[in-house]
Amino acid sequence: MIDKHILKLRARDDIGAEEETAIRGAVKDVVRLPADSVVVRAFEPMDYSTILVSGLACRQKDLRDGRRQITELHVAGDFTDLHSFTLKYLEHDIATLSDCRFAIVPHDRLREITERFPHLARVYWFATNLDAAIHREWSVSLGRRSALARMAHLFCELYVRLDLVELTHDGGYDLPLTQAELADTLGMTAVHANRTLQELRSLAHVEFARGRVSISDFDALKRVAEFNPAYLYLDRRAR
Amino acid sequence: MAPMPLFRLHLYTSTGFVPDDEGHDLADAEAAHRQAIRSIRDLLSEEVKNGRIDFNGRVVIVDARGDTVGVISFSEAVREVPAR
Repeated sequence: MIDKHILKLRARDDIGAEEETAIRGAVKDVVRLPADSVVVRAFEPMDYSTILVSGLACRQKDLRDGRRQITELHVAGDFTDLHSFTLKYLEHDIATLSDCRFAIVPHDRLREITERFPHLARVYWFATNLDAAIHREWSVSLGRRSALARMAHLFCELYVRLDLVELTHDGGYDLPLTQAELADTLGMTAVHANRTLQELRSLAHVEFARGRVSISDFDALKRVAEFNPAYLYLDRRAR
Repeated sequence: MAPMPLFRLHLYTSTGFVPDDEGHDLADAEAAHRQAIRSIRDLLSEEVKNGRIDFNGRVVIVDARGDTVGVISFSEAVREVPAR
């Protein structure tokens, strides 16, 4: 059920068989939610965290005028709200962008496995540090990158993150986002996102249509994005 | 909740046509009008950052039946204060 999660952890560190059993045993339940559901509402007390088993989810903040900013996208294998273990509530929502399945991991079980295996405490500490690194990169994108580079960067990042959990195929990946959701991720209007997509298509031969991103020239896309995957900490080492 | 009417915000600029294939879920024509203005301002602000602004463009708002319910030119979306 949480194979993608284990795959993602193992890309960056060795996870022993006993540790794997402990992580799998920490899952209490699996829930299914349709697209556009709020999984975790901001400021509600939390006593569990959720691993995204399948589908696409996001962290988001709403503005009073109805606009929203999607501050991170979550792919299968991600611990979408591991940070609620120490924060006890979130200051943002977690929402589904497609039909999703989530594994529920109660906080008391997280405490138990991290006390039993201090290495897992460090592995999950690393995971929240990695989340922070992704947030920093998104700050750079939203604050400094052009619309074109920002979109290209997102497509590069998702390629790398999805490839780690074996969800890329034929030079692309499924991305079940509407244009409005893509726009909310990139901090622009859907009309602007639409035009930027058209530009990116002619410049870097990237297609985003019917929920799929197709990349025929990854090097060209990386050049437009000035993409350096070092912030995704892809090396496998003891944490 | 009743589904909101679908509006398409097609973009015409001096470099070409960008069709709105997916459409926008907006409450009414007035909301579509506001969204068109917001979109144009967003496009123009990117242009300003790149050092060039081209007012030759418009957003054509089409409703679910395919009728054009509004045309907003780029110059309508911003108020220009000429240099003194």
